Amino acid sequence: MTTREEAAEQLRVIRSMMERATIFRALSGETALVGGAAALGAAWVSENRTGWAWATVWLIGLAAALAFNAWQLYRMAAAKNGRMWTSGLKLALRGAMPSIMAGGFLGLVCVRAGSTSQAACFWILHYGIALLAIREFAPKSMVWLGWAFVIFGVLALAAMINLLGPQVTPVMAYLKNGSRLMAIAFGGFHLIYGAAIVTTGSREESDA
Amino acid sequence: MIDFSQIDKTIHEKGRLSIMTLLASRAEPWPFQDLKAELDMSDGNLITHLRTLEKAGFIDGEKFTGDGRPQTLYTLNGSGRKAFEQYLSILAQILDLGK
Repeated sequence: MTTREEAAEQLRVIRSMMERATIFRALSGETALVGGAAALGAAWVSENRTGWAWATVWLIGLAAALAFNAWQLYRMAAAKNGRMWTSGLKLALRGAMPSIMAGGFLGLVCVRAGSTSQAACFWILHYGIALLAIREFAPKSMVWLGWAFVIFGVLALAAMINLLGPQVTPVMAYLKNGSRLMAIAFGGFHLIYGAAIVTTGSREESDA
Repeated sequence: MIDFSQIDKTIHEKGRLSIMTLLASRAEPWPFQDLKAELDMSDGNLITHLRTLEKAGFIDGEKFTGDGRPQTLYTLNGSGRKAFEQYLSILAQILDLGK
């Protein structure tokens, strides 16, 4: 090995260690698959419900997905003989919580006002912003997931308040239901993300 | 002209380089168990490397015996950070030479 090759190898070691220490996957592929399936289930159950009955179904789905994610983090920490409450998890929570809390509150205000579809838009949009808020130490795929939620949330909200023109009216007539919007975003996007992570084995992906 | 003798042999070993990098990546101290989990090293191997780095004056270890099990927290000190940055700079110079 030449001196230059050795230097390149040492820099590769440094880069890999830096990434291990700073990249944190808050959402595992398995959790995304379970969350996506739970979202599709919640969409099916809540399809004909309105108001708080609609919101309750989604809050139960959220609780189930969070419980599974906590169990996953615990399992992964135990497998590595490490702690679950890592600085990566603390950083992720600190970054994501403001957006989650604001979006959660705005969504519940919309539910109270009787608009489940607007509540869905705010939840989708703010969930995306929360993922982007932790982009500095998240893997690249989570950043893409965040952008998908933000773009879809903005477009859905814009269409809902008739900013996109009459061309989208037939689409919105079908989607003008909070459950269907939630199914596409929380169900579809999570299933695609989860399947990509699980099948490509990109747990070690780190080029964020 | 690069003086290759400037390369710090203590840091140059891969295990110790990995430890130095992890310690340099965060401001907070690293518990022994977290280092072990990240580096996938045996207790004996990790302790040996940590002692070598402590002896070189690059890192500080502090023992805590709170209400839980006792643990040692490790941090990169000022001279360790300086040595690490110098080491990186020499690696960068070597790579620049090959261009």
